[in-house]
Amino acid sequence: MTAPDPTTRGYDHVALCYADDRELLASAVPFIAGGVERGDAVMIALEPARAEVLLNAVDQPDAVTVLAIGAQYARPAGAIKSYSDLFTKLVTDGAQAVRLIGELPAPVLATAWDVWARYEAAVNYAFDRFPVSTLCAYDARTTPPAVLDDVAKTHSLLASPDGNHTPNPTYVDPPSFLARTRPTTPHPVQLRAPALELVDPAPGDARRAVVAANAGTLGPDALDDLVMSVSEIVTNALRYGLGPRRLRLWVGVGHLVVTVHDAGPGPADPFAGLLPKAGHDGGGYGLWIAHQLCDHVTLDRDASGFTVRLTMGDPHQAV
Amino acid sequence: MRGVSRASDAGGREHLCWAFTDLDAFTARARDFLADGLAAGQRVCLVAPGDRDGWVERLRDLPGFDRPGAVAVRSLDGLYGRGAVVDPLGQVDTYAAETDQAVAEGFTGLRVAVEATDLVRTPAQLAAFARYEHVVDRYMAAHPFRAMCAYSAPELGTDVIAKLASLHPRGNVEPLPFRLHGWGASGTVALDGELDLRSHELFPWALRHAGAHWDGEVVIDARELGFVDHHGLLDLDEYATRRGLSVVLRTRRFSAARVADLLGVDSVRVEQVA
Repeated sequence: MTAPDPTTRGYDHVALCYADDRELLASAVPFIAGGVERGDAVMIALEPARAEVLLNAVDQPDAVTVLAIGAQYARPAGAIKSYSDLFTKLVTDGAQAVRLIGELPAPVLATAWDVWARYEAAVNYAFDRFPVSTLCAYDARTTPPAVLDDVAKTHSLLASPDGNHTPNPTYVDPPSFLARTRPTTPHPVQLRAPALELVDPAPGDARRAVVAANAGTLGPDALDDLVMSVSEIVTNALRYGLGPRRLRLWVGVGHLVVTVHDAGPGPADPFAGLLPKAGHDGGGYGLWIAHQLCDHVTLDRDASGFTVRLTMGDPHQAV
Repeated sequence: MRGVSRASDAGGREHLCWAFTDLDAFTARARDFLADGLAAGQRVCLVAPGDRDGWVERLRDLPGFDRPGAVAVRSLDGLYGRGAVVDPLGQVDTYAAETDQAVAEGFTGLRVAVEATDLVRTPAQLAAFARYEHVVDRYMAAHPFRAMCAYSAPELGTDVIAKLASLHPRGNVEPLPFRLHGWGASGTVALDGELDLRSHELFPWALRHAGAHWDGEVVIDARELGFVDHHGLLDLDEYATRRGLSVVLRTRRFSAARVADLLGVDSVRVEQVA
């Protein structure tokens, strides 16, 4: 395959692992130029400096929409929703196809890749209803090898230095990729004993415990979002999990970490949390809402059961 | 229980749901309730099953009993046939007319204590009476009519009692996750308490019955609603959509508006208020 066919609905998810600006431009410039030429909606979501390099290299920079990456890549489930909303609007407004070049902010590759790896797998499914091509840029000089390994499993196409896109032989279908289990790295604050532990709390008890423990650590809106998320996750544990359900809470500088563990297997849906589930039974919405509202969410499965970890604030501040 | 009663309503209007375990307990509470009405210059009325004269005797020593027209006693046995289903709007019209008449005759209003167990025994009776409870509650919010609705807990069970209590602003049924009731002179709908796992079954039921006579845009004063999870918002949206209603939920909770926005609910608008 040398170029995505914009007349065919469906998602082309292309990984671009570049070694320098020359390689970035070699793939990105023809991708953008081809899109502009066709009249596609063309967008970039890159660090400002890198966006400038790219815009200086294309013929019609005014035809390119620049998205703010801070907002766009704040949370994986939020990115799926906002991109889906954006693609829907563009197509509704008449765009025949959409081309997007994006690059995750460097810090999330180091501290939140677990959940962004799930994002990269889930979008193959979530965006497949749109005539969209995305070029996901990763700087091979600074991206950790483990991240590059996941990138190679989650993108259906690879960008070649000559600008072509070829099928990726190491691509893993999303449900298989998402079904893997990897232990979550504890946040620094979790190396201490939790400030609070509740066994089989009612959702209201859990909410009040979080509010009491916060003691001004989070601002009111962030606290309200965390309380909502905790309530939803505890509700899921009570409705669908197996006892005992155990809530643990840690208070760090400017952040709160809450884990909710139950002895059950967790949701069977591999996309749980990243995509909302239609209908309002089954627990899909609660996990999705937590992913939308919290700064970082991880899901863990091991022999003892299923654990959701909710983080609000920056867990890498001094504790 | 947190947040299920409005602090500003303390000592205010009374539409009580009173669960009792035996007749003596009902009698004692009804006497107190009616005595308060007589002291406030209201016409009072007791409605209960059984012998009317017996009930008259149980009230005869109340202060103010002898004021002409101040006390009425009706036996429920004669008012409805067995298994009768109340006509919600017709019943409210009846009480509205009686309230007007009491005021016209120099009373400050009308106050009724009803032993209503016999009116909610079957599912059909319960459904109709629940609809009536909300309509009359909103009438009471705006008019000088007060009522104590008493139900036998042993005969009806905690599930039915909780359903009925959720449609009253006050009462002795605790704990109760939420109350959906009338509020203010314009008969606004109010929602107090918390909507979470404990209300996942009760709230849709309460909504279905309380909302039966809503139409157009319905403003729900949810300032005293301490929490609403996504189930509560979806329940509200699904009900409003099915009925063609537009619901405005006025809440102090930041997250309620956020979650409503995430869910993309069409028939509910969440307004954050102070």
